[in-house]
Amino acid sequence: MKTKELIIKCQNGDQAAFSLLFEEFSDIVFSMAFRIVNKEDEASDIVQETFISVWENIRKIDPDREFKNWIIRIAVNKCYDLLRKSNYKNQAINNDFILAQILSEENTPEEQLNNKEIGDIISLIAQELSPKQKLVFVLSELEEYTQDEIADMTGMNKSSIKSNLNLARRRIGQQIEKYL
Amino acid sequence: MNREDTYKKLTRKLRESNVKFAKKEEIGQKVLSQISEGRDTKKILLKSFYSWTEVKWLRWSISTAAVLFIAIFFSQQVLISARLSKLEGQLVKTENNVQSGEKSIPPSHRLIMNLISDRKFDSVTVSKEDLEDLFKEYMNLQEEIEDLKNGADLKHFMDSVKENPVSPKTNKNL
Repeated sequence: MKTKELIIKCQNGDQAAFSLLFEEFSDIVFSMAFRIVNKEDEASDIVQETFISVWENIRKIDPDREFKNWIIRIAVNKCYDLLRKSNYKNQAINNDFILAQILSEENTPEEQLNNKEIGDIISLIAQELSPKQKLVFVLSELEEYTQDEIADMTGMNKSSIKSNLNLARRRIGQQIEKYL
Repeated sequence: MNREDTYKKLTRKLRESNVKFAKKEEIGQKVLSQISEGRDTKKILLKSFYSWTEVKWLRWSISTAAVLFIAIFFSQQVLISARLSKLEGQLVKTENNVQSGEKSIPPSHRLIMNLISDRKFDSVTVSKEDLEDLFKEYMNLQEEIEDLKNGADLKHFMDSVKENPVSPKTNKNL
């Protein structure tokens, strides 16, 4: 069933259709939230809050509009609020050997990183970033959204996105150098 | 490998590693139960708030009471405004009478006369006879004062003193 039809059904109070929407979009939301907040429990909470917000506001959305951008925008705002509230810079990372291992390998191994490894590495390299810089870095470099999409999701203008991304790259580069 | 290559390698590795949503089922259940609860709570609240409208006699009596209260309110407004305009008219009339009435009559007398003449417009519960008596008494007193001023009664008083000499005790009282 198409997303548009699901949205129309949800607007009429169909919870089964909402369940299908959750099935389709929860992975995308979780992935993005986890890469920003780096903790599975917090990312799960963000997914939960995001979908409840979606249900509460589903009547406001135009079914012809891009649903993915809308739901990601809700989740991004929740992630940003969490980053601003929590003192995430002070999170202690003891698992930095995985970063050293990846950086020391000549060719990137085929095997994928697990959630914990991904979370630890992002926490480590992004520990000096501001919430905005981290948000822009994850959305642009890891989630591969365009600058227009990021501007739409975060409400930031393009020049701000560019400057935050450049600063984020520079600071992450400096962080990486420690492990080279 | 320079810093830029390392950065690209690391971000590619992070991008290609899929994040797994382990608690998907659990969170999905939580979301569904929360939206069901929310909807049920809303329904219950709405029902309890508006349930009285389903009782016919209550609905009718409350509507009638509301209409009555509105009617009373408007009639009171009309009465108050009529009363205010009447009082305003009386004020203007009294002021005119006091200022432009007959000059030989003192203003205080004219005010009383005015009150008597306007009696029919007012709901003051003092009778006309009472007011007239009061007015007569007032006029008598006024005449006596005038006489005292002219010395007529002083002469009469002196005569009476001559006829009946006053004791020291009585003088003391004077």
